[in-house]
Amino acid sequence: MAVNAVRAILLAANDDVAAVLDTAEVGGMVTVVLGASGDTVHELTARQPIPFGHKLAVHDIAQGKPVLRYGFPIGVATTAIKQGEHVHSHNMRSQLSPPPEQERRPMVLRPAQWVQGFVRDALQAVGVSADGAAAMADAVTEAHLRGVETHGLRRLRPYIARIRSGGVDAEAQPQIDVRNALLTVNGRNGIGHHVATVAAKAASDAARQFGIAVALVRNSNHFGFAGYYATLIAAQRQLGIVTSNGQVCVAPEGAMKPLLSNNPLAIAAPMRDANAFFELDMATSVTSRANIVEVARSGAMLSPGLAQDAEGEPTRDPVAALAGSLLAFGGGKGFGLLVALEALTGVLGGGAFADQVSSKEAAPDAPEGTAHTMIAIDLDTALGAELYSERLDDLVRRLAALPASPAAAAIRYPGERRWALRRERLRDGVPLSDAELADITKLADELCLAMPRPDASIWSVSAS
Amino acid sequence: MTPWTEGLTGYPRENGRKGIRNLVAVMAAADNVNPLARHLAARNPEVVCLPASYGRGQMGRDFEVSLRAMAGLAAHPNIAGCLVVSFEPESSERVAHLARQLGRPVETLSFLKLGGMEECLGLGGKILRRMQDASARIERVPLAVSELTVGLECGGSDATSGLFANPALGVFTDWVVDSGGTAVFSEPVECLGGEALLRERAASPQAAARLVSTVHAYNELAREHGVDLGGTNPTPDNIAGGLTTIEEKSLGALAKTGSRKIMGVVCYGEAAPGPGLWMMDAPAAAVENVTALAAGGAQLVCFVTGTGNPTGHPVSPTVKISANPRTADRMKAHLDVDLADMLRGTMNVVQGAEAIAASVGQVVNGERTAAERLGYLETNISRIGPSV
Repeated sequence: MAVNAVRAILLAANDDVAAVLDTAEVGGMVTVVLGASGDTVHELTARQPIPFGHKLAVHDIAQGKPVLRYGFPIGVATTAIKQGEHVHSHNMRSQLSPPPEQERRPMVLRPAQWVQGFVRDALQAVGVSADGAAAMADAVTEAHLRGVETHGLRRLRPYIARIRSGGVDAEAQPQIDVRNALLTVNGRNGIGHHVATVAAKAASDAARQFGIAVALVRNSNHFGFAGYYATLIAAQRQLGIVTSNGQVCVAPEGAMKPLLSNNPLAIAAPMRDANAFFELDMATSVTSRANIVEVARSGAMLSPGLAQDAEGEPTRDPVAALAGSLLAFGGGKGFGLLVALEALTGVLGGGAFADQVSSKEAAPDAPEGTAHTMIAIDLDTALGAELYSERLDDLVRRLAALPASPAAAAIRYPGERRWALRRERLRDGVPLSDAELADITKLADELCLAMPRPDASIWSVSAS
Repeated sequence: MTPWTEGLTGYPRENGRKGIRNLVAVMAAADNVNPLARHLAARNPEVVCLPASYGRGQMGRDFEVSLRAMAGLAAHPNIAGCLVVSFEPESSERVAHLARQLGRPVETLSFLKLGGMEECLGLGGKILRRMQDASARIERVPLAVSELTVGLECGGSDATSGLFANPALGVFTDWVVDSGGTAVFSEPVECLGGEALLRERAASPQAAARLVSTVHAYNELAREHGVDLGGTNPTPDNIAGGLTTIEEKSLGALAKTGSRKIMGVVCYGEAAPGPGLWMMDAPAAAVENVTALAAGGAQLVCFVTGTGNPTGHPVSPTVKISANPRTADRMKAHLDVDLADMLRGTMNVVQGAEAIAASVGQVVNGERTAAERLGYLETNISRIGPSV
């Protein structure tokens, strides 16, 4: 046995996982002994910290494969698991409980235009202006194309409810005040996607003239995912930077109340391939509220470091977390970035900031007052869009070419996955779950809309 | 070292079975005569009292389960003589009739027939003293493992149960089965998710179907009461301890059953119809569970605990086994077998099984278990239906 190695027990010879009998540190040696004989059967390195009694993979486990313990399956791997990794709720689930929504295999593929057309028709049916409906339809469709389903069709019903309750003005047109490269946009409580699309376009136009432009948007609403607007700008041979505030959910460590949203930051730029973009899009909380709700529903516990309770104490209880606050990613640095983003958004734009942004749950008919900030940098004015894209391609090529341990996951640049998915889905269609499809069919019915019936050839049912 | 199977002894009974204790018991056939049963036991030292929780207003399968369990306890091989008391004569006679079918004579006494407490205490005392005199004349004779029925139970489980104590008990269970003995595990609800194992280890396709349907019946029962066992298991505590899925939790509990074929399913408090490993359809709560195993004729129960569960049964000595060093330290007086060295890495699973076997051997031959020494003994028959 290696000196200072942590012991782990393998309960049956053909098991995939062993239980560590002491906390295993990253890079620490683990001696796996067979429980029946006490013989050492593996010597390996822990790839992650593994608490006492928890499971470690004794060899690689492919995604979707059963995980054996006591010689029998105890669940399936939900991701590929490497030898030495911690095996628990984050990468394995029971085969008895139904898989969570996002894991369920999509059953039906729909062309992107179908999604787009449906959203547009649904919005127009509730009185949204033609350009407002088109803007939201485009943003929602892009969410599905890029695998950001959290901002896709599942949001349509709440958006419509808010429009109907008068919380959002369905016909409002944003008002833009142009002062050279600085634009201030009053969203006038219009559809968030529409306000943000108009602002992104205006910022882009101004940047073409001045080399750079900033749009400060106030009185808007939830606009979907920030990366979409950053890439709208990037598609104009520019570099787009987008941030927004939103519903309050994040507190600084130890605070008994949240004050800020998990303001996203998106940075996008064109690459030489016209069908690929550099697209960083990140929220500033460790996890989303939606994820906590999901964990609460499953009865499981949260990973440490995600949330705190109403007393400002760290908690792993999802119910206590929902009554408390989310935490910013990266401790003090992440929280500092979040505060700075708010200083650049709600505070700078003259609109609502921090907890002045209204929650759609608390007051469904009150305007949210969401603020966005968008920055466009014209690449032709800088060093030439082609040259910039070449240099950016060089950067990501060098990233991908880094020597890595055989066990490392592929090194990806921001946006690589999203745009690979988008290319695939433009070709094959957008996967929708049965539940999603049933819900929009019901919605169409409620709105007295005829469901668009694209020709049979593109109504393909996936093999699974 | 002599094998654990050597030198075992027991008390011979009329039906050919052998007991490892030589008890005299007074049983109440219904709760309305519990005071009488308690007074009789108090006035006659060494007499075990088996009070009833209900026994009146029961019907259907629920009544059947109660009667079978009462008869099983009254006819238990560890009991030399049993007096069943009741208010009206019919109640104790019903139990006596079933006990006689199991090959054991029991005596009865009716409060109503005798005319009151004083008369009952007088006659009952005489009967119990006579039983004690008779039992004192019974001598131990050699006992083979094939004459032994061992109950298997785990409660207050933690990570050490699934990793060490249950696998060690599993090895011991294999030895019992391989020597022609009978082992009975229970708690079908804790097998939910272990269906793959049950199917593979079932002795026949019929046994497999029965095992799986018994397990699923508990899931359905829970669902009817608005509880999703799959959704609430593992518990947050389990998850913090490293258990991810209900399958895993169940396989940890099933580890105590070893690796041999499972012959079939017996009802609550029913004796296994033959040697080998059996599952009993009884709920998981410890007192009800050991009562069911005892009623099924288990001469002793091997009980694995992680965080420490003190439950023992007054009729079936309950051997407490733990591999948790903290429990072994804090609840030493409640434990019979300390397997904490398995966690420390100085004892392997076979050595753990040997420690269990050694303790079982001593308990069979008369050494009192921790629960017997402490008098931490309780009996309670499950209810599966309402009273009217």
